[in-house]
Amino acid sequence: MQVFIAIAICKILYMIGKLMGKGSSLPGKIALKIYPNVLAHLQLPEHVIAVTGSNGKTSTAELIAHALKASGKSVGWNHEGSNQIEGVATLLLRVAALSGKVKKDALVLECDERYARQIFTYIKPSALLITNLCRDQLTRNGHHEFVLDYIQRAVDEAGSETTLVLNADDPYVSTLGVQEAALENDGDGAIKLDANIIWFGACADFGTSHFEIEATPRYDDGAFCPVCKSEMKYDFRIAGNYGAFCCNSCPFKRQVPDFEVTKLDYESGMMEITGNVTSRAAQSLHATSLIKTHLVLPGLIGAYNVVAAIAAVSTTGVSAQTAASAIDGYMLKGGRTVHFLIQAREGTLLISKHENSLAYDQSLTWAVRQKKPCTLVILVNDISRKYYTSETSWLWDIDFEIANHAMVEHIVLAGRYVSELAARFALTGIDQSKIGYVADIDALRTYIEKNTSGAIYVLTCFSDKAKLLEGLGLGK
Amino acid sequence: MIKILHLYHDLMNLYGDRANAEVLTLALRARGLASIIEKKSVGDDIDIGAYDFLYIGSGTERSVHACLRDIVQYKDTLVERIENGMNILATGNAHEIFGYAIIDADAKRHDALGVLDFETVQGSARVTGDCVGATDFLQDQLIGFINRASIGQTGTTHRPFAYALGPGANDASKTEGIRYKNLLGTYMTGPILVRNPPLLRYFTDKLTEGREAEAVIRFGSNDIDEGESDTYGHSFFTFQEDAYQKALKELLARIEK
Repeated sequence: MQVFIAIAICKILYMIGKLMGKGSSLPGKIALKIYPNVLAHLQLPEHVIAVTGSNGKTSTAELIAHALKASGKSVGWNHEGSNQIEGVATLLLRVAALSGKVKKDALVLECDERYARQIFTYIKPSALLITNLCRDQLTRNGHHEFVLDYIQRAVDEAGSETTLVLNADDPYVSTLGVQEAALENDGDGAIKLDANIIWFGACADFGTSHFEIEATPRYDDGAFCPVCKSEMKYDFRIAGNYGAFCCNSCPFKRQVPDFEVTKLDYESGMMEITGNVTSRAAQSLHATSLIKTHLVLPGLIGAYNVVAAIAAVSTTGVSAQTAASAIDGYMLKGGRTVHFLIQAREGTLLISKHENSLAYDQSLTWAVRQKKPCTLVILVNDISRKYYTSETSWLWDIDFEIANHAMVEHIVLAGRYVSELAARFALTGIDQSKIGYVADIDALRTYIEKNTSGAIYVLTCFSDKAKLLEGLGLGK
Repeated sequence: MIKILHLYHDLMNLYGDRANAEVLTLALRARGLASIIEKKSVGDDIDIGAYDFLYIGSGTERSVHACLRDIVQYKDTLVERIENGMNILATGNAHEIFGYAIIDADAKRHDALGVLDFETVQGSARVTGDCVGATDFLQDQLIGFINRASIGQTGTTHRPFAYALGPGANDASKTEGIRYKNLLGTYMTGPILVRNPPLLRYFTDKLTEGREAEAVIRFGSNDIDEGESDTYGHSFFTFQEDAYQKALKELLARIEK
């Protein structure tokens, strides 16, 4: 009876919320108050794909949901809710019958990396995809190893029946597939892995052939082995600490990916993914040796999202080729980029999470790689939505030196943190006559029109998107 | 040539910490003194006594233990140099290595350098927050951010930072940090010499004491000695001061609320 009531109330609240245009974690929150154990009483479909990690959760979950739908499956996905337990509860109770049976063929659950364990207490995913781990929102998350420990507990909570879909190029994510005790005790250099793992990654050429931009990373989270803290070496690096890592002391090293990005053309967005035909996982998952697909928003992170999504979808019995065809040319709805015109000049908003240096590095790289004379606008106004914080150390982790490039004709630093940005840029070696400073967002458009030239690339976070668009006179 | 050692630059550089060494060279340059940053880490051959300034930044809890395992080989030299007044800055959890021990979240004890009388206890949650407050060695208030897993420190060591906003070393207190001769440590993380012009001046003063400027460099002007062209960094100090004043005002306003 409690299940029935909790589900019914959740559904009603969701309807009301929808009419009022309100967010959707509240119905789940209230349902959990009424009956905290309600999620344990649901009858779930066979395929429950959970997605967590630092970057790319939303985009990857969307790609998975899209590919599953395209293959004829009905899909429940928490795209409009929060990715904490309340948002997941809202989704599940909304798509469940009053009996508790979830009426979908598959569920795609984006899970906050800190709250995934709590969700898995009730919901055991059939597959758990971990996109990557990097420095992200450290004011909240502490650091990547702290988050890794949370995810490890989530993996343990999910249980051994869950297939792990792991980023082979990310040393931190890779530790999740290792039975750590075995690693420490095993003297012969072997590495013991969990039984059900699908690895995805990217190959060496993919990394090097596309990186003519001179990157000078500000930090290296791949210098030491995450298992034993001895020095770690790389056969090749793709970006940051992603690549073919190998510990100098213990047997921890990169695993051969079952699905690997072998080609990416940054201009056309064409990419190729090769299934490792010798791998048990790729064979049983009907992977053809070469899969071609096309990214609408090409980029390194985008390519990882695609290969991760294909690997995750393949756990449902849908072939990798079918998933790739569905993703081919698909335009993400998440609104990570916005195109606009200012005085007939082409403008692109590249959403880059504040407090996430990797996201900024990728956006800067993408902008410079367009090979067009351009103006870069970097806006930092609200780091936290809740209150002012003086924590701007992440600006010193971003490789803004990438912007020291002939194609970048002007740089406009904007927003409340303009002086912090300016101090950082004063140490980049970039000719300061190129740089403009605009604290007041409302003055941004006039400044851009009068003082800059070329294509306009704006880097800022979701938290500053609305103010930016207003400041540019582009509405909300 | 002033020699700056950024020790464990890869292991202990979690929050943009390296900027501290970078802006120190900039500030020294503004006083007409050349300096060099050498980055060293685990496995390097380090003549640790040969430097004028030693900087160590924050690391993950596991990284701090790796740092402890390595730094112990320099213990005798370090202790002697600290007694002789070596300038050292340790930000975030790096300053914990100068105590007697760090007790990890599993209650395991890890011996540290034992320069000062304190021990640190690591927890499994995090203590984070903006901070603003006074010190016992500067007139101006300092601002910063704390981000640590350590939950407490015991011992008799005097704590030089007293916050009006922000977490102290222990629940009950608002004080934290270490200071002994020219060794300074604080739980504040990241580029604290960028955020705090008074602290940058403090260390610049210390390092320029008794040295004569080698060249007068006027940033942003053309009359630089030896025809050196310099657009690099000239405006840094203006921006730095502006950011500091604004942040100080905002954080003080948060206390009043």
